[in-house]
Amino acid sequence: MSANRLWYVFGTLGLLSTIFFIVGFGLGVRDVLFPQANQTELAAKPHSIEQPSGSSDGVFRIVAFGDSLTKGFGDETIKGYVGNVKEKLIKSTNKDVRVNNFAVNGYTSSKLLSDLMDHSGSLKAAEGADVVMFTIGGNDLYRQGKDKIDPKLYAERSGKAKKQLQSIMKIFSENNPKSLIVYVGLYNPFVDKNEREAFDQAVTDWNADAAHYAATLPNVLVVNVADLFARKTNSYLYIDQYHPNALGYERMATRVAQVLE
Amino acid sequence: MTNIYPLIKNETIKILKKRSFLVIMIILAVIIPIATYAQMRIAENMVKQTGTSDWHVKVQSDITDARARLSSSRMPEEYKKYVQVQIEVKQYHLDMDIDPDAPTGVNFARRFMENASSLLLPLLVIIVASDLVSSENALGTIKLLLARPVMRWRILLSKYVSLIFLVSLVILAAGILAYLISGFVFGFSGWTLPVLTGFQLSGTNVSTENVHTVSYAYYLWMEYGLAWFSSLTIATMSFLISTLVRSTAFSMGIMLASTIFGTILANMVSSWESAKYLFMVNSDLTAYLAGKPSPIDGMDLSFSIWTLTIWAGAALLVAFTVFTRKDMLN
Repeated sequence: MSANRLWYVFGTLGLLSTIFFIVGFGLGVRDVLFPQANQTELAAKPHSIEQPSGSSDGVFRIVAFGDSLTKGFGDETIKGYVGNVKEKLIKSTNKDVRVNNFAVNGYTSSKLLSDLMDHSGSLKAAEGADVVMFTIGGNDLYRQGKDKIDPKLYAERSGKAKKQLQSIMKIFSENNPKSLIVYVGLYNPFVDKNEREAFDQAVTDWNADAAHYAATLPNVLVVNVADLFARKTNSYLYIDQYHPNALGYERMATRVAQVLE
Repeated sequence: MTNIYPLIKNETIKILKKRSFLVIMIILAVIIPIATYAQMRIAENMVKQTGTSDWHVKVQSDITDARARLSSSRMPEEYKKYVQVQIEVKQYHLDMDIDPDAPTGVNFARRFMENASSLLLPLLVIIVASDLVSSENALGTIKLLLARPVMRWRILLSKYVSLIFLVSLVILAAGILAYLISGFVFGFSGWTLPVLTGFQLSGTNVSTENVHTVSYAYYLWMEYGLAWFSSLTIATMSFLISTLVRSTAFSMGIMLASTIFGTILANMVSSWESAKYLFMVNSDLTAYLAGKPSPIDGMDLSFSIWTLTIWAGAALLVAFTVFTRKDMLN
């Protein structure tokens, strides 16, 4: 390209793009410094969701919610019971099993409930899943490392938490009428005799009530794991003596997988 | 009085014929396909993991992961703030049903500039700007240039004007290349899709009061405009250094070191407040548009623009004073 042509092409382009960017800069500054809301346009719109692939095409979708148990805290293999269930299902069904795990360590029933009610995102993600699994309640009854052992305290707290558990089950059941919803119950992690006795009643009541609520809904099941931790408790617990270890999660997963098969 | 037009023309042609401009284009043409490929793999992986290509699922997983990270006690406070803001912004996208990362070439161009504006673009601009005057010194052509019956400040001004053109061309090329190359993979549509902007941050609180939607086209225009401004100030700083020192390598080295140092600083010392007066900490203007927290408390868009303008203005003043008075002995 001759020097003159070079100049005409790039000189013009340079000048025009400079003007273009100066204007863009001005608009950008205006937009950041004096933002003008157009909320009317933003009123949350109903929307169509691309249906995630279901079991029809050989894909099995699991969506998991809840607390550290679902997250898999304490499992050295980082699988948790959800990961173990996934492996077992792949082996037994030969399907492509996919998991979305939305659990958060330390979640209580009220936090999970407010997530589901206020922000529809996680529920949308669950749409079309084959199975919804969740654990909740442990943190409502007992805050690890913060509480004294007191049966009265458990009874007091469980009232509100149970109502919330009921609502959560109902929400899942209505949101996913075609999916199987699995609630994994609580277990008693205490080894010390006094503590154990104090917590036993709370756990038993909780699991029984959970089963009651589930029975009123067509597609909700409760998987009880309390008996798995009833004997030799320590060998199934992580070093915090509260969460399950890899072996504990593995045993929980066996139960859940049996239900799903 | 000679007209300044032929001077600008002369300088622009000189820069275009230099290798450095070509090198920049080659760098962009190599980096962008790699980034596109990386993006593609991320998207594929996501589909593999979650079993769906629905963006709601992806955004929700991001939010959950971020929450899980927040609950870890080992996370430094400043980073926590960043993550919290991210959660709020993503949650708002979910609530409003607007995909924060539509898989299109347009969105790639937007993300590319968001990431490039803090380091990559300044580096590219430095390549052109830092040998503008020093190369004349090195080659000895400065004497020929100054021997012409033209005032010295006019010569420097013409160099600066052509530098502005060049910065614009580099930004323009970055945008066009990012769009075209990624467009082959992600598709060329999406100019009219909505982008949410106007998130206002104070500490960890994200105010969505003034959030509004603009089209991708408009957003890109603003984003590239802001990136253009910060690149121009970096170019101006390099321009100054290039008039002060004789060796191109030296002037490039100074600028590269201070820019890279700036990004390190921005990531590291959010507690050292006076660092906010340094120009390189302020160079990422696009972050304000994207609703990201500023590296140091007390910085906002107008602060950054003022800081950059003052630095660039001072640099120009010094450059012109030095250049018009310097003895051109060799």
